Amino acid sequence: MDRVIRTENAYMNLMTPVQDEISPYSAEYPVELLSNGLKLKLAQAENVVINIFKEVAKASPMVAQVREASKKGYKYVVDATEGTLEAIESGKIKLTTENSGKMYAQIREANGHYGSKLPIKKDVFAKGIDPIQMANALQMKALQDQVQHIANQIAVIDHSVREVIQGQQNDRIALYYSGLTLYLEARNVNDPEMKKALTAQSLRALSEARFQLGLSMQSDIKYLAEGEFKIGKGKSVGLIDIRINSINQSFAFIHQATMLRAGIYCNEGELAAMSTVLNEYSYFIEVTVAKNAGLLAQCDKTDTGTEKGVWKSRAKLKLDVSEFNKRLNAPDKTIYLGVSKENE
Amino acid sequence: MGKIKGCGNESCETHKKKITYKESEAFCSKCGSLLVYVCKDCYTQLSDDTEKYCVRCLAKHEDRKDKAKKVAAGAGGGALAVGGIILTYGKKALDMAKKIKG
Repeated sequence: MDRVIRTENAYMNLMTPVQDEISPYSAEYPVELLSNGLKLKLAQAENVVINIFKEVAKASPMVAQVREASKKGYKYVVDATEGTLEAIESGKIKLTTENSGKMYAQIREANGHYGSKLPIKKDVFAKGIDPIQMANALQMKALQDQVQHIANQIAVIDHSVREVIQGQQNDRIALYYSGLTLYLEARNVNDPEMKKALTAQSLRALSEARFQLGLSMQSDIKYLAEGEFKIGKGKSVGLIDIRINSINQSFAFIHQATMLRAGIYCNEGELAAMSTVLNEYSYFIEVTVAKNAGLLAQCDKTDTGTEKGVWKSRAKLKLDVSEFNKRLNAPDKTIYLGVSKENE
Repeated sequence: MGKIKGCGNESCETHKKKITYKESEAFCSKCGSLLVYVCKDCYTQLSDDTEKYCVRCLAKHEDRKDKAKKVAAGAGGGALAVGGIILTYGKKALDMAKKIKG
């Protein structure tokens, strides 16, 4: 529980305290928003785990149970009828999550298959503990290493795009700023409905910006891949540079828009949506960047073409985000196996 | 043909000094890393052995060739123009000389 994750990355360490909010118009804002959101979620997970441990220790008179709880640090209680409880006591329980995000407990039968789904209700075990919150917190805790790893990867890309951001303007970038401004407004609105509506609009603008820039980037890559710059006799290097600048600009704002969307979802407690955004980003990198990393490295005068070069390091993001997403959205999430007896 | 290799290990001195190897060699003599194809001009790592230059350097070479062609074409055009002028004015000058003599 008190494990310290060590990281060499100085840009985004999730073990450091939450930073004071920087200017929203700074190039670092989106990744800071995501980083702070992740830090808060991890801190909440830590608190929830500690609270659960305390409640379990207080509410379980049996020595064996306390020892069990101490070993695990947490425990769940499933809301069930008398008959079901007997079945639970004799078997093992696992938590499953449907695609909708709703959680259920399931009984493992003698043949090893899982039986009917039992809904998990709030406040079933002890006062002050929300099983859903517990499950999310434990999930977040289990994914801490993955989260930190992703944060480190994002930081590598983020560092390389910040220089590109300054002073760039076009209509698609305007959409990004529109999304950013709408989110800032949403944060300062008191009416919950209006807040939701503004946040949704902000996410939509950011999504549109990301996809328009994605298409623009793909078109620029196609131009380079098909050697269309050769048409400009004596000016092809200039044409390559124009396209590479455009690609770098698009990529920088795609990254910013993605980080901002992930940050918004994370701060709203929508971790599955955050993971979907990161997964989509991962797919985009795989299809658009990784496949063309060699070509882009050859066209970009700032790149060396090595594994640590600009484009090949960007291309590497795919693997670990996919792994994180797989773990977060795994349909079979067995979080605990022990069964409590205090419901008797 | 004429393709060159370099060390892909960024921390190796050979890479930092952009030292090149012949295509027939396989490992870096300094760090032992597998050699990779690099651009003959800028040392950018190439993904395969089909080209001697990276896309940007190749375009640079093509640009130079195109510019040289343009200059040559310009020079050729200039020579023709000068020849034309000489013919026109030379004829007039000859006529003038004949008049003066006559």
